Amino acid sequence: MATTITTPTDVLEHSAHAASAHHHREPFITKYIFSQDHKMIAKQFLVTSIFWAFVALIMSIIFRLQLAWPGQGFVITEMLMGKWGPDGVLDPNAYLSLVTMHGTIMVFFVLTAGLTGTYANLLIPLQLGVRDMVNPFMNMLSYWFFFASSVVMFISLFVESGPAAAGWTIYPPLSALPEAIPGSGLGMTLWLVSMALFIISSLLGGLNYVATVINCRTKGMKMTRMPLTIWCFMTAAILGILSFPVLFAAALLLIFDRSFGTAFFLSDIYINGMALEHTGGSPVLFQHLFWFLGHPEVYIVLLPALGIASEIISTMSRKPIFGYRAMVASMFAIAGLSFIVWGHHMFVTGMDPFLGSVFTFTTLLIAIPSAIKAFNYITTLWKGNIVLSPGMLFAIGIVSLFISGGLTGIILGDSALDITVHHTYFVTAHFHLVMGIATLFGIIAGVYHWFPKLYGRMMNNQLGYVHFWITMVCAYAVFWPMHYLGLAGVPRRYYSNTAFPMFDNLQDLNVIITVAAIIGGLAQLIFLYNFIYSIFWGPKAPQNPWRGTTLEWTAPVEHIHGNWPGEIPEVHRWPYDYSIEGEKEDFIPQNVPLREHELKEAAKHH
Amino acid sequence: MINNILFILITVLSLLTISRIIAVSNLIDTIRGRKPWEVTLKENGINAFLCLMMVFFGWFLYFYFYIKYVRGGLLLPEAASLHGKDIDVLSDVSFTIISVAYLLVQPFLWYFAFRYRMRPEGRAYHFAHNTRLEMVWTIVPAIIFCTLIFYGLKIWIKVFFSETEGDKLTVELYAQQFSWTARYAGSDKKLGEANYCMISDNNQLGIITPETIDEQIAKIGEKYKAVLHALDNFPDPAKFKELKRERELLTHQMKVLSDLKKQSAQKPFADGQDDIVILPAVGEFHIPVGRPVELKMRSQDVIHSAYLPHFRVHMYCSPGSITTFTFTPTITTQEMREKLAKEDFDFLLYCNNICGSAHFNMQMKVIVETEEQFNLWLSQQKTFSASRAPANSVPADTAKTSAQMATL
Ligand code: HEM
Ligand SMILES: [Cu+2]
Ligand SMILES: [Cu+2]
Repeated sequence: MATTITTPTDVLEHSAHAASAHHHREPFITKYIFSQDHKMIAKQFLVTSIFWAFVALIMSIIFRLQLAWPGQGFVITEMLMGKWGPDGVLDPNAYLSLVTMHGTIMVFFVLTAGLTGTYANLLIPLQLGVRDMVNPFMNMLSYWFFFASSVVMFISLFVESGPAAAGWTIYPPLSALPEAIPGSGLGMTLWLVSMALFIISSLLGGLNYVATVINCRTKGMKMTRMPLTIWCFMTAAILGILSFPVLFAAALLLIFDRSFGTAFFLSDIYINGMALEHTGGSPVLFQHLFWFLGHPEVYIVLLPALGIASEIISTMSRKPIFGYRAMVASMFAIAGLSFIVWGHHMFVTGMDPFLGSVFTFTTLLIAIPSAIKAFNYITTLWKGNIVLSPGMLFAIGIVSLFISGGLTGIILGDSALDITVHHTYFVTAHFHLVMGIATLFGIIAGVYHWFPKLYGRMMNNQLGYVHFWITMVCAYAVFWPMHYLGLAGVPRRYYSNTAFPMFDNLQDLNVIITVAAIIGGLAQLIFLYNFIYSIFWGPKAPQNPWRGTTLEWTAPVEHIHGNWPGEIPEVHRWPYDYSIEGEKEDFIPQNVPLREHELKEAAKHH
Repeated sequence: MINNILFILITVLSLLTISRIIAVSNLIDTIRGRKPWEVTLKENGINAFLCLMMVFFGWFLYFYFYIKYVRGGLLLPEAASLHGKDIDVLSDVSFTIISVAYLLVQPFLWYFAFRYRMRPEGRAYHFAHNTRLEMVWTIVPAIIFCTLIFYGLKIWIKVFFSETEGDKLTVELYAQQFSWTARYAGSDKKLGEANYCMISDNNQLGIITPETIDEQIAKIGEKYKAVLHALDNFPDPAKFKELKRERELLTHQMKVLSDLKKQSAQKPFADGQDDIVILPAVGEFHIPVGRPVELKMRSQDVIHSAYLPHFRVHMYCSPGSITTFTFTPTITTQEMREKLAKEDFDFLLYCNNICGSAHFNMQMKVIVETEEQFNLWLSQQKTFSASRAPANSVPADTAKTSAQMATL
């Protein structure tokens, strides 16, 4: 049932239902559960991470309540925290557990798994014109390792001594000694096991993504004709493959220190009235290992979000992305540099100050490609014909947050300035804007934009608008004020600021932040409702609702194995032929053969 | 109960209502021949207008907080140290640059989203790249950032590599869950060596002197005997495991102690005798103005961080190693109080690295005073050996709990 498509109108009218002839019934278990189809796996990642996002969100509301009204009892705390919230007042150890789990879940389970797992899986085959990942079985395993990791982490929330509580960065000795904090008992063990499973999942997925992009593009899909999303997924996957194993090693050594009496990270510790036997280990070594993953991790989550922003902004502005080559080059620059900047998290750990100056240098260099990216996004909007769909608004939001959060990175990356702001709320504000919320927006923008590809239906725009505007304003209302807390010297991971009279006149900021967080959190229910409602009752999607040029919009709406009935589309042009002068339609899909004048032009260049 | 039922009922009803509204509006769209998911010009206009509002929201955020918090003096006051003043200038320069960038660049983004909103029959301008433009915004940021890098590095090097002139004062800051102890070198200007196996009720820092070695060996020996005795009495399995572990640890500790004992045959271990230890219960330590202070940081248990933001000083304290930070205070506590017109102002040292349940309350006052005042204060403190007369000892655990009790 090969259909030749030559003009955009063909694409629009090409009946999605052409595919139905191919339908054959598949057993429930292989179709929905142990599926090897990249589209189903994408949905599995998405739904699991949405679940986690709400868990982590509720955690943040509970600890925010404590920060805004310290020592006051809250029904929700009492209900959800049980013995950790007697009379609704959060226990200090439970506070640290919540912060730790919030951070861990958000960074790994929501932003890493939810973003890459969903969109790399969905889009790599669809946008490259491939029938599936190179190794669908490995791809399935990737999800199930993630699921196992999720189960272990979820169980850890309910252990007697509480979940891990040493911060998402789990610095030993705190994370190694149950005597130091109860969460470092069984909770920490489960955290490490869960993380090991997660790393396996991430590697299985990452290898697949890279292999697919390199080996399996459709005819005519040269690397330089790949949409920016694919470039970003591939680079992020490479970063993951190179850096996650180091975290694995660190976790393994930590397990040895905890359980088998080795001393990689522990030395000269006197606790609970006893001198421990470990000598010669170095806690700073752990920090090096951790941040060797930890910093690239920031880009592992951010790059895909930026890729999604590129794609959506270009499509909805009806313009090519400005400076395609510069976008790819700056992405490579960011990715390369991201491996040699980890020390900016360690300026004041006692690391050699000379090393600190090297890391300052490399860190501030990253600002240059980042600036290029920001300017290119803005220029893409210039003289566009912008359709402000909910997905587009979230994509613009990503750029806005990327700019705001990126700029404060210039302060933090400067070692001399970091002396004062290190580990304060200034950091919390910075990374939430540039990494947390920007990336979360990436997931959300993707859901609105590719919902027709995920579920074959359309989401409701009006609810999307309400969701966007509340979320956008609340994101700034929550994280903007945190900068000033940090500049006043308020450390992060503090259970309350009441022990410091010097912070008394900042308490109203904490109240503003919490109120905004609650409103913003509630707004996510609008999204959840829209999501579930649209899966079942949303209007049926046409094949190419946003009039996009990339190959996923040439695939039928119905999900079929192999993505395209009949032959795979062949690619003739780059992905951003929007608003070409002289064309009737304002877009030319990638699989439309070159026009006569274009052929001539191409011949001239050779 | 009634409340809960009502709550659930209202939620369900409102969800149903919203679903109906969506369904009906989709139906109307379809009847009118419109696709329900297509963005209408009107919707687009409203959202574009809101994008325009974001320009003002961004400026509002900046200026509101700038006036109220930065100008209003609610942030950290001016640096009270020599290097801190340099850092503050660098900070002002950097913040000015990023503020300007924020105030200029954000509006472009949101304004373009508004200005170039979808028009009926409109068409975008195909503009895929422009080398000159791209060069401009590569080179301009590159110049700005490189300048900042070199300026920042200059200050950083000044902070950590400049030779301090004058007679510097060495103070040890010793961190433990959840308190600080300070130690000054006595008249010999040398801090005595310490070892974590030497820590006991009346030697919280584990300072090594010939007497403390003997005393500790006796103490641990007693403890060891007690454990053996308990083991002989057939404890229950859980207790048994615990005791065995304790025996193991005490054996290790004894080994270290006997090593020290051997060393003491060649080494006098005399530096610690005249050290001055300021216990957590005191709650403050003093330093003189205008003289370089070298902080030497150690930790007893987990990583803590010594954060003295008023002096722009910050350094982790990790068990097993000594970290240092040298700075010169320039303003006394009294002067700062007058400057800020706050009678109760105090410079503070507090913990800035997650270290356990009372991490949020691990602080100590820093009193900066004139050299004479400082010398007077120091001369009133007992030396380590003098303070070890039994009547004066404050057990470490008492100090810890009292610090914790203060706020809980
Ligand atoms: C509902 C929105 C959110 C709110 C109100 C919120 C609030 C907070 C706050 C106040 C802290 C610091 C607590 C402390 O240091 O004592 C924190 C920590 C953290 N948050 Fe969020 N957050 C939100 C969303 C996110 C998202 C989307 C991410 C994804 C990256 C994220 C990642 C983190 C991380 C990594 C930490 C650090 C955890 C640690 O210190 O170990 N948060 N959050
Ligand atoms: Cu980093
Ligand atoms: Cu501490």
